[in-house]
Amino acid sequence: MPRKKREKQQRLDRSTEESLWPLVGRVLASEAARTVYLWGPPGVGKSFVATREGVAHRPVFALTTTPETPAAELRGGWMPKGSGFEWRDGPIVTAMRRGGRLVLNEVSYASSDLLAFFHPVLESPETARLTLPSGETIEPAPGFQVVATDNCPVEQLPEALRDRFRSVLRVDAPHPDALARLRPDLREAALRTFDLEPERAISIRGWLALQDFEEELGREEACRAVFGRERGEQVFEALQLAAA
Amino acid sequence: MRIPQDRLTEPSDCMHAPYPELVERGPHAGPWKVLDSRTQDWLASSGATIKVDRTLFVPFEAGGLPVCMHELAHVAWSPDRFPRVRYPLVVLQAVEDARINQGLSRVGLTILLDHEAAAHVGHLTAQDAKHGRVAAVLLRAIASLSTSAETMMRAEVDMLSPRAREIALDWLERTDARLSLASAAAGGPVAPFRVARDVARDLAGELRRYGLLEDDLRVRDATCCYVPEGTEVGAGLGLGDRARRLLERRLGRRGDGDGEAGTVEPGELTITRPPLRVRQRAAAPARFGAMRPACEGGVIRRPDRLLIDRAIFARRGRDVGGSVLVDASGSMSLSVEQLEQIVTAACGTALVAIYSGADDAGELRIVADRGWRVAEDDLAPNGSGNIVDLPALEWLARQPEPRFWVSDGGVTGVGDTGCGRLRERCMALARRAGIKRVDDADAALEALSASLDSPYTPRG
Repeated sequence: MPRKKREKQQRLDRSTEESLWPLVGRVLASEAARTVYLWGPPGVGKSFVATREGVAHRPVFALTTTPETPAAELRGGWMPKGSGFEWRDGPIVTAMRRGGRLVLNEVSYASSDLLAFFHPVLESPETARLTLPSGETIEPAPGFQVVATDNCPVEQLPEALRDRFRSVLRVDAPHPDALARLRPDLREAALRTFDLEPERAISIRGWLALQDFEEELGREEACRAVFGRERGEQVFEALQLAAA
Repeated sequence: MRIPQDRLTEPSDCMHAPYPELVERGPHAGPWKVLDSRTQDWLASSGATIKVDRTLFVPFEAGGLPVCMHELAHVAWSPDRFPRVRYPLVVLQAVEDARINQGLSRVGLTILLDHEAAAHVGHLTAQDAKHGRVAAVLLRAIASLSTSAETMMRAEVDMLSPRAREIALDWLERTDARLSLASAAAGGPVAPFRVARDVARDLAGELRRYGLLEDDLRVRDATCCYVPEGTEVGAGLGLGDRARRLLERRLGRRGDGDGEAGTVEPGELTITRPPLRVRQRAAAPARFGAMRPACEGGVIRRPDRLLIDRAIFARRGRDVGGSVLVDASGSMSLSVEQLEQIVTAACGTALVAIYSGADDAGELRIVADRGWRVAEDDLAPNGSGNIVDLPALEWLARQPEPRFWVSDGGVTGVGDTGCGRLRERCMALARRAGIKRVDDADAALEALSASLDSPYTPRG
């Protein structure tokens, strides 16, 4: 292998070896990891692994919380059926009943109503209980797991909530599977731009979109389509110069 | 709830920051600092590359793209170290610029100056020609080779005296030809640096033979101020003593910060939540929002919606009122009484926090939340500096709207020093997150009262 190619491959290997991704995979697959908090820069693959790694045969329920999301929406409620009403479980209750993996994205954006609702959900199996408005009290089925993802450290959460996470993992490098989907030139570009300051950072998503558009639109138009005119011009010029 | 319409932040310029990380050769060594050259009055031209400090200066304006491209080319192709030379460094810099511009032209990124930039260069060259500064005219023309200004510069050269014109035109052709041949021989878009060094040495020698080269030659705005490692800071840039001292401070080579460092990092923020023990009566009662249709609930309120969307229940909304972040550093001079007033007026809002810091860290303390506040002892600021404006604003950007930032607009980082770049980041974040800045406690009370439609009248 030519020297330059070898050095590039070594840099890529180092970026994944030194990152926590292998540990993240083992933690998510562990039975002891009932509640996991995964955080890091945008676009590195947190939601990707949360919905795929270590799932086994569990169903996955993925939610993105917002300040407007009420707890009742995720808990469930009465729905009209025929001439009466029936109780319908929300996604959190469904996950608890079926022993699935509940993925909570952007958990720090959750309303205070929702954050308070998470307390009994994140309890240990011995104490986790949820009494529904229907009068039923449910306990999480074996295998129930909660994986929360966010861009902010766990300290941003209320103390009572952050204490309920058994594992807190920070990932600061793109996932190797996501990187492997990129061409070598764009992969190198992605590794150099994902950790820049927020105004300039470009996540893996952006580079994957560029790669997809490039075939059809050509590089210059693809840069503008993905990044907008001003930023797209800068990215295009830089890629041209890097390839020269 | 009325959303504040005015913004106390400036609109963004029409150019995005460049990406020197993408063109840098060799292993990735981390982010570069990219700063707006328009705010650096010590710079001798509109762009600069300081490889040793991984700092790039470019104008953040609509016509700044050519400067960006040129500086990126220096990042990609110029050496980390310039050799020490026995002639004015500006000669080597001009030939290096020609080499870079030629390379850009070969890869299809020809430097196209806008009308203003071209007129500016033409004006300076005409001034040099008028005062008989032949070397300056020639170096400016060499630095403009392979750009859109080349034709104009050749026209200026044509206006020199016959003998000077002959020498200048000869060297323009020789420089262009030598660099072209060398890049063709190397098989790449750009000639090797050693060729530029040889051309510059030969050029300086000939100019000296003709008595056209002064040892202290200064050519204003001729080159892009590439600052090579190993040379005196600011050498060849045409900087005066004061500007050179400022440059040294910005590069961190002097201990005395003057608060205008090229780049300053924000301090480390700690968020604390002391116990909220005091029931705070709101200036205005918390308002209940309209009832919202919902598909789940306990009491049927909207049976008419059964056949539409089945949202026959209703959920009572409650306006949380937003968030207030108070800069409690010494510059704001907020007394405990004033803080209490803000907390009182804002207790119709969900969240009130104060922040301040010292040295390299700061604290954001949540002092009121949903009608409860901390005891008076916990309202006293911790630290007299700002330090953590940026991370505090990042926290505020995640809180409920509307968002108010009580601050005089001064932002600092580690060491309580400020810089233009840090301020730009704070203002850009405030703009993106819809954060309204108010200057002082009284302005905060007025803004809060207006947003809450409160009968509260500020004292004084």
